[in-house]
Amino acid sequence: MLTCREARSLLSDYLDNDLDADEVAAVDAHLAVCDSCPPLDKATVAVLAVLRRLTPPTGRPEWIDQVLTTVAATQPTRPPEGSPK
Amino acid sequence: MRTAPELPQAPQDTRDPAAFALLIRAHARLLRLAERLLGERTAAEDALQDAVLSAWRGYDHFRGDSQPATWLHAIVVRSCITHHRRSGPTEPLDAIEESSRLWADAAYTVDPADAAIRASEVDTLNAAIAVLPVVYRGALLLHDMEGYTAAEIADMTDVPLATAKARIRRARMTIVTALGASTFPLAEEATPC
Repeated sequence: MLTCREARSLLSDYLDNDLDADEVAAVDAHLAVCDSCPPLDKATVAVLAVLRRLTPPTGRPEWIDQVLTTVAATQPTRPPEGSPK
Repeated sequence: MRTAPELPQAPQDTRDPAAFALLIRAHARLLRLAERLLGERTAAEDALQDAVLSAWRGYDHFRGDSQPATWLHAIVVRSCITHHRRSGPTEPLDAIEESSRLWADAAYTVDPADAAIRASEVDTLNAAIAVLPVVYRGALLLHDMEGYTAAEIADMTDVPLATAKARIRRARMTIVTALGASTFPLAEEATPC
């Protein structure tokens, strides 16, 4: 049986489905009998779910115009098209 | 695990300025990644400008061995880390070490419902992310927000796979520890970005 420390060290890979079958079984067995590790597992799952839902911005493309203008200035003979005129 | 966002294919002419501009325009979201890595807009824009310049200079060497997005993300993350290191002293690893110490204690746990509620508050989540040293922040955001694998992050940041995985693991432990603490965030820690 894994100790809490051992189980927690595997938790990140466990959540990424990056363990072999024996390791998954060992973590599952530990979580089934432990009081303190399952809340850490659930909290991690919940926090990661929020992170994965973070919406990328759709606005503020002006930074792109700004940097492409700078790039164009460094390539006077062949500026990237689409740069602001 | 999500896969990385679907992106345009590498253009045949890798020095095609129009294709380069298109590639950059397809990645407006990089500004948000840079903001979360650096904590504020001005620094993020400076780092992005350097990154895009660097990408353009290296564009003729880009042969499509990786997805254009992976290549571009790697340049942006490296630029952000460089900017961050230039901007101040070496970051303390206090939060990382404290969470490792707590997680090594079998009695330590958190209330998952409380952590989930705090994570759902954007300012509080940002404050928890901001607790992380920049290389850990980068690993977490690339993996858990942008959907890159640990192997891809290892390539992007020039570290062994084991290091990339350890950074992801320890970053996760640290933000869960922060969000699981009833006292988090302290008023001065809330840094919206």
